[in-house]
Amino acid sequence: MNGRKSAHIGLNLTGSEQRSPEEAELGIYGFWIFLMSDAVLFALLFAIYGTQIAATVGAPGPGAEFKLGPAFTETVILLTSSLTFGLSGIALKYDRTGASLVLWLGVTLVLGLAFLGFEFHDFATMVGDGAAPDRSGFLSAFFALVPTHGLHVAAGCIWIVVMLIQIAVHGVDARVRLDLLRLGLFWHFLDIVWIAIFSVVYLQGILG
Amino acid sequence: MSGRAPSREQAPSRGLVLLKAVGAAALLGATRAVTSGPRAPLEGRGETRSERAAAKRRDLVTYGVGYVLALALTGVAFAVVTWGWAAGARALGIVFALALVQAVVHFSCFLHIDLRRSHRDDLQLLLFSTLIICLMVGGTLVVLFNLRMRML
Repeated sequence: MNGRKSAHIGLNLTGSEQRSPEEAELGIYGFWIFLMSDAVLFALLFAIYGTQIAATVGAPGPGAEFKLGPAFTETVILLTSSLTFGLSGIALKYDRTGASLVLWLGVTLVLGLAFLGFEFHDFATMVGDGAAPDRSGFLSAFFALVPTHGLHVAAGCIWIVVMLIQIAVHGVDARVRLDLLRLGLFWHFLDIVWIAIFSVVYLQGILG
Repeated sequence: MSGRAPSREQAPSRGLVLLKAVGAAALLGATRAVTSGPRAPLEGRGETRSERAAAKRRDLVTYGVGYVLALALTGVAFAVVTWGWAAGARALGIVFALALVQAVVHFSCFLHIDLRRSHRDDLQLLLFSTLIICLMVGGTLVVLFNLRMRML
């Protein structure tokens, strides 16, 4: 698994101070294993959703409830937040001051919160239209899948806040760097799950 | 100690080069505007300043290219549905194929997964997880559709 270079996935941070590259590798690899378990969770929620698409029972179905505009907006917001997180990773790797790192983390946080705001508004609209989670099998499956992703994004936003506090308290030391790498993995993973959501849920629902 | 080898295995196409140039220019301009300020001197890491700058530019270009590609793939998927460029099952197939390509773009550009030997273990983990997911999702679908048939 290792040569002399740090061999874990992600930006190879140059000259890590206290941690050996092997430690960083294990820390990152372990987090990958967690992400894969999370991927299994999402995959099964998708599978259940797939079996429930037709179970609308006369309640509002996908054609009535899914709107392309908000879905596209949320997609672009989340994709841009992945980019800005990547820019924060580059700042972490190359820039000596912590300013741009904190700036890009802040932008990512704002975009994540914007995404959550849009999504919550969508859910509120659906419930207002009578498309509540307990109304039909399709709606139950939808509200099991998409809010689970939303909760993950919310947890990621809380994590960003925690990292900002840690940067303020400890500075950008070895542990903070490792944690930021893990947060990056988590954030990009959530965007990949969202690709599946907007394809399988929203676009498939509107195509009918 | 930096992430990428400087040599390329194949000559990039002209369009890709142009795309990278535009992406790099935009991102360099943006980051330069944001990250102005005094820089502490480098502590003799065994790299010259220009090597670091080149490595940084490569990383920036990677993210920029990934972003633009993902945005384009998203746009095409939404366009197929919005303006009816295809219909029915074919449209769905196109949307899923675009999603798969975009996932690969994310893995490659944002998560830096490639076929390099040092990343083999991570790639193997991904492939194994995919296998597990296929087994579990496939089994779920088989059981539930069988159940539905029996209950109708």
